[in-house]
Amino acid sequence: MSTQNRLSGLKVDSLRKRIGTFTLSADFEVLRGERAALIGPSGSGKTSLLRLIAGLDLLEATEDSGTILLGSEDITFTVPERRQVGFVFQEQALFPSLNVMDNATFALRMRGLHEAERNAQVMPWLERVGLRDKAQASVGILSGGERQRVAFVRAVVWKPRVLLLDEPFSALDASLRDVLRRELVELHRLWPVPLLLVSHDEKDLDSVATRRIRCEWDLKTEVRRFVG
Amino acid sequence: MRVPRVLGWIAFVWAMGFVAFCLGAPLGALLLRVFMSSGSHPEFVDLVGVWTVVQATVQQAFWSVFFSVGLGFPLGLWVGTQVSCGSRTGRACEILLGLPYGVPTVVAGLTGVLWLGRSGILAGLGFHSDWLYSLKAVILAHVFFNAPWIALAVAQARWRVAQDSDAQLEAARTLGASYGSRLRFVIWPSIRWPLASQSVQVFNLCTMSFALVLLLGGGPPVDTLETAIYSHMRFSSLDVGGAAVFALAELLINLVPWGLILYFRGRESHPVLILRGNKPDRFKNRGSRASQNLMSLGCIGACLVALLPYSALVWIFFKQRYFNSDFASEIFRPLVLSLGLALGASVLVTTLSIAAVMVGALTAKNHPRFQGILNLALALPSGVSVLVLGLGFWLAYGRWLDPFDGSFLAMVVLQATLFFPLSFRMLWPLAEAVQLPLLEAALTLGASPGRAFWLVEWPRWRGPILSSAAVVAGASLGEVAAVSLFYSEKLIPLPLLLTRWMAQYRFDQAQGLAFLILILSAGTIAMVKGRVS
Repeated sequence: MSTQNRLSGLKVDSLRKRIGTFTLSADFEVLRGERAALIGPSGSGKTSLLRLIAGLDLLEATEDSGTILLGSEDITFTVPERRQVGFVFQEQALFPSLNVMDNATFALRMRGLHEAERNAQVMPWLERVGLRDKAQASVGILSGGERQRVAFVRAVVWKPRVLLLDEPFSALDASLRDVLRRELVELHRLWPVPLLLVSHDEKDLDSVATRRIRCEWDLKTEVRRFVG
Repeated sequence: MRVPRVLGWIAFVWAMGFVAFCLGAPLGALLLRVFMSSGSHPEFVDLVGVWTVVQATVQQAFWSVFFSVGLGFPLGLWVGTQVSCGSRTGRACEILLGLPYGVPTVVAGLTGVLWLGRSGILAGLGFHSDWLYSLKAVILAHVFFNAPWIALAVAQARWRVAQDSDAQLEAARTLGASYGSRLRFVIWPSIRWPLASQSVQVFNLCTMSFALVLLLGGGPPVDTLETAIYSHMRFSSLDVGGAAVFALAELLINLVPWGLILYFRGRESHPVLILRGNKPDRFKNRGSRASQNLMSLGCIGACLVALLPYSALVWIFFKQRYFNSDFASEIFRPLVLSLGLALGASVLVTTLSIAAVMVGALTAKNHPRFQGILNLALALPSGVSVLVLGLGFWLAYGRWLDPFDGSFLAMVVLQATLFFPLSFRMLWPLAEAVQLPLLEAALTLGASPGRAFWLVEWPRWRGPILSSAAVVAGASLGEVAAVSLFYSEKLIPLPLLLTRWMAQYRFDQAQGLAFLILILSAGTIAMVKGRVS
């Protein structure tokens, strides 16, 4: 797949998903290079929407509707391992049995790259975030900020077609957040795919997001609609 | 809250006294006997004979573990993946996989005879085999006994992965990992140590297996260390020195796996990187409801297979009637003795365990190293076979108890030593989770230390203590090794009566008695657990 194709936009088209007592609705597009933030109160379905885009939750064929497109490709029912979506989890979800390098190269390993090739690709990224010296360290000994950096590198190093971040800074202290926000923007400039971010922090929205997608909450019909 | 120094010392003396009385003296007497006797009468040690028995023991234990893991690992993985923890099907699978361990070994032995005997169930169905009284029968019974236990450990570890590492599984998927890669990189690191620990425990239990080898191995065709010890003490001429040599060999064989178990347990606390709690039920990408139901049914069906051998007993019970006045009069005295034994062992073990847990709680803060030694010492009995320990009791305290005259007290103490680690392990988490801030809050509100404990802590302790007492009582009702060393014609508990009836080819009565033991043993555990829950 050419770089041009990999850098195509993300389109969530007339998506409707029943979740418990409410209906999640979304209709927006994030272009390549854009950093969009999903904004809404707690329980509005921001994380659920990210999970639907990543394929971790699926639409029910009978009661849900809509499509998720990456460029011209419909990925609505594609399994997560084939979607090529980079996801940064709220709890980082690093693999404790693997060291920093093995965590960062995980996706490349899944794609059959040899160790030397994987390491060569990842090392510049680790260097950029100041983790070159800790490449062989266990992730268990890293600080919160370092773990978050590994999570960023792991999500972006294999050049996914879209980046999703679920409250990536929420577990960090204020000063560290500023540093990591800058690093995230820098990493994204190196690989400018559509980026979708969930955060409650206004500073995240100001310094990272280039666009905002708000939730319109209809209390009467219990529909939570994200439009942008 | 400061613990008075004197309490710590009392606790220390108590714990060391227990270890010295129940383990140190018996095992010391055993070693003395071996080395003193071999010094004066070197000719009695038939090393070739001992080596042959050691080989047979290790061989049957190895194959039992091999097949138990071969069947239990995929079953546990499948159950753990398909059924979520805490769901109705998950709980049912957990109970079904745990049930075989509640079956007394003598009962399991009898069901083996019922299936494999010349006029047994399989022969009735046209499958004639010569498995009974051979190594194959022993291994088969061990596999039916242990494979569900391995499966349960794997399923529980897999459920913990779903709870603790759900996000890691999802992260692996988004990074392109197939099921095989997720198994290798996320699931396997979390289940390998519990699996290793459980496998080694199964190996240990198989080397220490007595009743099943005695009933299904048929004596000389399958001679293991346990049956060798027993035959040197209770059959033909009494040869305590010979028994002691076999006991030492078994002790050495069991020490290595026991050390491995401790090592594996230490590794089980694998670091899990979680910053916030995950929701295990949020992963909904599991297929349609119909396929989920089908999988749940499949899991329950697979777990039920483990109980298949014991179903014969229930089926035969409803087909025939055993309970008449002759049967009742014959079992009356053994029944009373067994109930007394169960009560005695249960009370003694529970008292000892509570004391041990208190010792642990008192020393946890100020003496962590002592606490480590204590945990190690108090877990030691689980690595020693009952017959080996019983022989040690025989040698150490022979001056005060004559084994051939029977000793109720020795039976109780031996069973208590045997079941103590089990009870201790059940109660230890209570000590680790003592809620000091709540106790201190109660003290500041005017409660005395005793009353504060009663009101704040006791509600948390009551359930596990009752459960532990019930488990010990249930296990005691079916225990055969400890009682077989100290019985007499006047002191024959139910499990021994069963083996005696089987030796006399009174299989009809034996079946009725086996069913009664099963009901009493499993019923005690189920009744108390049900009330506690």
